[in-house]
Amino acid sequence: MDKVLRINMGAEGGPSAKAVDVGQYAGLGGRAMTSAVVSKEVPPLAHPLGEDNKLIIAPGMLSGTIAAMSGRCSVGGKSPLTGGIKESNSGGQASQVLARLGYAAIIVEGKPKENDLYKLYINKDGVKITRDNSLRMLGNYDLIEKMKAEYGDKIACISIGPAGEMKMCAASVAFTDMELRPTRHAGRGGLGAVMGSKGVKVIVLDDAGTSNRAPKDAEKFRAANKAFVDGLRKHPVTGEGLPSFGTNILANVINEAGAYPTHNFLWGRFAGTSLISGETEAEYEKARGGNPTHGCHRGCVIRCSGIYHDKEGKYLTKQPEYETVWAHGANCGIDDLDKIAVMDRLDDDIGVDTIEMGATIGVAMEAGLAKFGDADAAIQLLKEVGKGSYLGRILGNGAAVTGRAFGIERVPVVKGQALPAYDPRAIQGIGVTYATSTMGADHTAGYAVATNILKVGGYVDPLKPEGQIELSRNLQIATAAIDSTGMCLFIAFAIMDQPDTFQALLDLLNSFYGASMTGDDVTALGRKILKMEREFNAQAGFTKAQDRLPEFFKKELLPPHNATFQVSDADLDRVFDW
Amino acid sequence: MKTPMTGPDPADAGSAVKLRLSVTADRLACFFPLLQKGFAIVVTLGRPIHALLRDQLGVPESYIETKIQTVFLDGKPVDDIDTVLVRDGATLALAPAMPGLMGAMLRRGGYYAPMRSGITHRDDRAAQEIKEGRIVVKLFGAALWDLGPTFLKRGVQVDSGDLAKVMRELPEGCGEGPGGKEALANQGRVHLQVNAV
Repeated sequence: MDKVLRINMGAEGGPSAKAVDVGQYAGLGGRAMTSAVVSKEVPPLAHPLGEDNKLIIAPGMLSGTIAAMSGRCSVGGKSPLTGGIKESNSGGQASQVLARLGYAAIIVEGKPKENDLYKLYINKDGVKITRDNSLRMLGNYDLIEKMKAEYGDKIACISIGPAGEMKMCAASVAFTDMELRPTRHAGRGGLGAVMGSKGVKVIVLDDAGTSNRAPKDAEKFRAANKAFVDGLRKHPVTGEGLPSFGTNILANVINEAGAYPTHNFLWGRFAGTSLISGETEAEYEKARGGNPTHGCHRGCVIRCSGIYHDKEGKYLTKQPEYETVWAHGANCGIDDLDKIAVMDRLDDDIGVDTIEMGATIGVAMEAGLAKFGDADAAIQLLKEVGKGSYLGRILGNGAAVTGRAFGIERVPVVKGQALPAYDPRAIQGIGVTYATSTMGADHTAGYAVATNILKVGGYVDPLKPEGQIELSRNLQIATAAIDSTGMCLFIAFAIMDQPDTFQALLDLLNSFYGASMTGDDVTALGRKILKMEREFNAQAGFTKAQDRLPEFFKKELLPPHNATFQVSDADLDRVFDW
Repeated sequence: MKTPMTGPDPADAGSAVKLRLSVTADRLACFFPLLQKGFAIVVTLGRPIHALLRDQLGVPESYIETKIQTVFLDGKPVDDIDTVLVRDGATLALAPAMPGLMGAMLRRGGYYAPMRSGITHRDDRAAQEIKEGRIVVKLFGAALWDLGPTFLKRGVQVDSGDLAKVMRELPEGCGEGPGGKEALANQGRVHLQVNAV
């Protein structure tokens, strides 16, 4: 990965591509790469859909190697949803393929002069950019079938659906999975709209004739990978819970904790949770010939995804994840897994973020556009988005826009981005991260990485009131670093509890690059990324006023615990006071 | 504003109609949504959660120590199962270690427990009379597979409407056999025993 592929969609004479030396970005991967490029090359006040914004696609530091779990791909740019810096990452095959092709990043810049659509084909011999308006308004599934017919089935694709073409703020960037289906998405922040603004419908990656990236010390690398895999397999979460039930195993416990947002964040419990839980979902999949234990890319050993079949036993969609089932389920009062799965399929095909769309439909239901619990009406609203009707255009721009359009006060967003599936009134600590993340409300911004192992920022006494501020800060630092490795964040469960597994991760990085990184270096990387992102946002006009939860979280009691969000504004302002 | 009820009301459990089902082992899972939503059982009250699980419910000590990592009493995460007492009408939920930051926060005695301190169960440790009473138990994750069949065999009290809905909505074939959905209508509480054959 010693080169960057720069694609200028606004070049004189038509779009052009040029591979250049990685230069100042050497050694960066994933989020570190995308945020570095955005902060150095995108004017903070640029319009997100304008020619000065850039779309950066970056594999992780260990992508393209035999390292397990190394297939996350980061997408970055200035977000049309939040107006700030954005990194959103996805599973799927593309990260491994892109890395084997030798690219540390694809940077798409400029803007076509005409309203044309393009497909990009990238293989070991170079890049071919083709204008192809026959792809216009194709859903991701039909689009990928066309690409298969044209390029064969040994490819990986990065694409947008109609939502991206219509430059909707909820538009995602789709990545194909092992079965060459467009089921994995860099969903958050509307980066699909940025891709659409560049006129890029699909990037086809073909790594025929390439091989895995070679580590500096192959023997140590193999040993570290074995220790890493052993650690993942022996841990009860990564070795048992996630493979058996997927991420939606969380539904019952979050519901029990009274933190499962229901009816647009009105209640903390949903009566129909047992009908849409991960446990029930897994039984459906087994009974219908689907599969509850399936990886989203080759080299995944956790295999938290799955294959969801309809009642007739035919493929419908990949296993809807926890956030998706919540967003289209409890948040909208819907307890029908099959209809939630239909919405998941529609989201993937239209190319929209499932969290944003579920939250948006919840706001629309509060506005009276449909009744809570009416799954058919929710499906119809999603179809409006796909069609691009006037109503669909409003909904496709997310919960904040929908709330404004219909005069709704209770809109669960931070920095314009919808809150995920944990109510911050019941779990105050997650509210700190929602409020202060550089990305807008994001449950993965401060994920579960062992701050007690990393000792990020020194020892924290979690029993002190300020402990939640410290923990949130440290988690955000650690997460930013993990997001740069290209490792799936779910490795965090094992490295949190098992210091030897965390050491195996460091050994993987060090033996591959011939480096000697320590936990302190990982911490420094995380801090550096967050600092870049905070500075970009400040120059884009963000102030501490954006580091706040919506007012109703402080005022409305959340049953069953009747809690409100209690962390003071002064404490929130201390999160990045380092 | 009223929160919808989840799970049966243990106070109603005394008047349950009895229903015995025999299903093949692979169909036991069809009844798991009932165990997730919660079932009522009769226990001796006034004991800590740990003792109740081991001595009354027959959960092996090693399983309690290593597998049951997430425990809720009346919707509040419990950190110390050796001191928290179970009261009449309580709802006890059992789960393994859960993923995500939220899973880590909810784990009993975990490093991130302070991040959910607002809802943590606070035990008043007041002594209670040792007497018989009813509680609602919920099983999540692998605890469903590991403990669910034993509870079903022993017998659990569930809401007839929930049972009928589960039998109607679960995959094809699970609603067959004696005591199908028609037999369940308007029965109120049902004492359900399910044997795997």
